Amino acid sequence: MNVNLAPLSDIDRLIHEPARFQVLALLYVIESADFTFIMNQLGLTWGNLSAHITKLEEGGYVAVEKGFKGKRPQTMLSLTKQGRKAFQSYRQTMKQLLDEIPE
Amino acid sequence: MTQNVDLKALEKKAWRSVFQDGLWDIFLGLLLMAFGLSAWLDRQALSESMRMGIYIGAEVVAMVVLFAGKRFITIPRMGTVKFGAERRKRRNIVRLLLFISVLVGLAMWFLASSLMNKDGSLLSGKWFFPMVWVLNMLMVFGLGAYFLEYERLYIIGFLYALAIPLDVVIKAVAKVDLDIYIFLAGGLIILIMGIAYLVRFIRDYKPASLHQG
Repeated sequence: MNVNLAPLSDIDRLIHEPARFQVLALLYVIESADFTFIMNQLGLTWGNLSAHITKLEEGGYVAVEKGFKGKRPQTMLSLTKQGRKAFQSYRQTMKQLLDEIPE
Repeated sequence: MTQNVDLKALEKKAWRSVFQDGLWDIFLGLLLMAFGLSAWLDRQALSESMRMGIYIGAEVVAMVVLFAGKRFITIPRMGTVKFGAERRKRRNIVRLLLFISVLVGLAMWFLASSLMNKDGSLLSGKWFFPMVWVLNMLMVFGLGAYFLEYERLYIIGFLYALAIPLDVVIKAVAKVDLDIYIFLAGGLIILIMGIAYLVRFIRDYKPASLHQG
């Protein structure tokens, strides 16, 4: 059986990295969350998450809103329209690819 | 690489984490204990306004514990999250249910008070209020637990529902009035459950400032 692996080259590498995929998946199912919440939910370290968020922000997938809650600084993160679309497209491509691989 | 993620499970895990701090349990435990305090105050030689003032004060303490706990313990450790439209809808349904429950409770209490002198039938004042209380508590806590996916509310609802009929039964059978202790014991069970969750939460979640170094 021939498996068409051509879509593999189209895979969005920004999303393909596991930690970034997890961040996007979490932001996909909620409206927004701050840095601390995402870090706790995904078990990532502060530095690790910070690096991934920077990449996702640069890619236009995540919106970062810095503000204050009382006197405490708060960084809220949410998925942009572009990020939502890219995530859906990534899921579709991966699903299709994996479905085509024989048992 | 297989990116095998169940998005529904991920959202559910995020949602359930909101109740991991045990603060709602503590709040509801303190409220039930406040009923016991109210029953005790009824037996004291105090003016109506003084009794009411102390009771409202106890409820305010419960609210302060809840809101201060969220503000100073939960948010710095767990962070903040906003959920989507579906969760907001479910939360609003629970708010509406609570509002209806309070109205029904008050209406039934007034009705039961007016029936208090007629005795003998099932709908006499003696049994009418406990019956409505049980139905109201089971309905509001049961639906709340279902819509909020907050399973401990089933146990809390059961303890709330049990309090008044248990008091009536004990009064009828043993001729002793244990209402103070029944409310206090029920509330204490919920309070201890909440404190256990809070201790585990504090152990598992470190303040965000420690992560940032």
